[in-house]
Amino acid sequence: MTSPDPSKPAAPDRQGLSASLLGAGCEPDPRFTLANERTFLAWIRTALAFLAGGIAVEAFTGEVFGPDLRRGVALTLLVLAMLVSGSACVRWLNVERAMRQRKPLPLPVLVPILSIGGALVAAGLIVFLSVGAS
Amino acid sequence: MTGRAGDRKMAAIGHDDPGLQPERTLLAWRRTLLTLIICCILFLRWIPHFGVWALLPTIGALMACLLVQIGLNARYRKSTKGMCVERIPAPLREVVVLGTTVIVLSLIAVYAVVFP
Repeated sequence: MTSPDPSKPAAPDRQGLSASLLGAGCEPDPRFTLANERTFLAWIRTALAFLAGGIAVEAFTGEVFGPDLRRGVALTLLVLAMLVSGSACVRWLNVERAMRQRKPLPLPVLVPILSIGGALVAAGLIVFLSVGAS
Repeated sequence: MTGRAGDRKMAAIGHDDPGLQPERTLLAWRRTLLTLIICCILFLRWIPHFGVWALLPTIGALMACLLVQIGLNARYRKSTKGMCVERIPAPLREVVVLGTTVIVLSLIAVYAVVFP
């Protein structure tokens, strides 16, 4: 893989919204642009898994969980889907900007969000199992 | 070499990237769209509660899928060409459409869970 060439000229064909969002800078290596795109898609698939999980919990666990716990777990998963999706877009944009301006890549805020959300859902389920067993 | 004919010729020539980055990216888009279609279908479970209104998120998300899918072939051509000329335009429109679709679907699902 070749590293980006700092002497590469700025993109002359970006216009309108694209120009204002991506900002100034040099075009990054196309491999990096595609890698950033695939990372964004991986996060979107994670968000879609949360979305499907939220709907599935709400739809198919009526006889397993009580109404409040079922609603709580489903809402947590759906809110996580929203957060992950929104953060994926913002991160894609920030990484794209950083690559164009030859700056260090920003730290992912998605990882702590995902960890905390996953821990919350797991804690809810542990409480449910403990209460159910006793 | 410019224009659509030029793009097609470049795509026909291919690229010299041994990592097959354009192909991997195209497949990543296809996987994501398939996952989105499956999520759309899950929304049909609310038909008994909301009637035909439950079809709206499914239809809307499927239209978003179609919009992105239509642009994918052109995107692949641009990626292939971009590997040759060392420059690929950022897929801003596709990213915005996909991200917004997932957020809107999640909001609708939250509404359906809170107000069944």
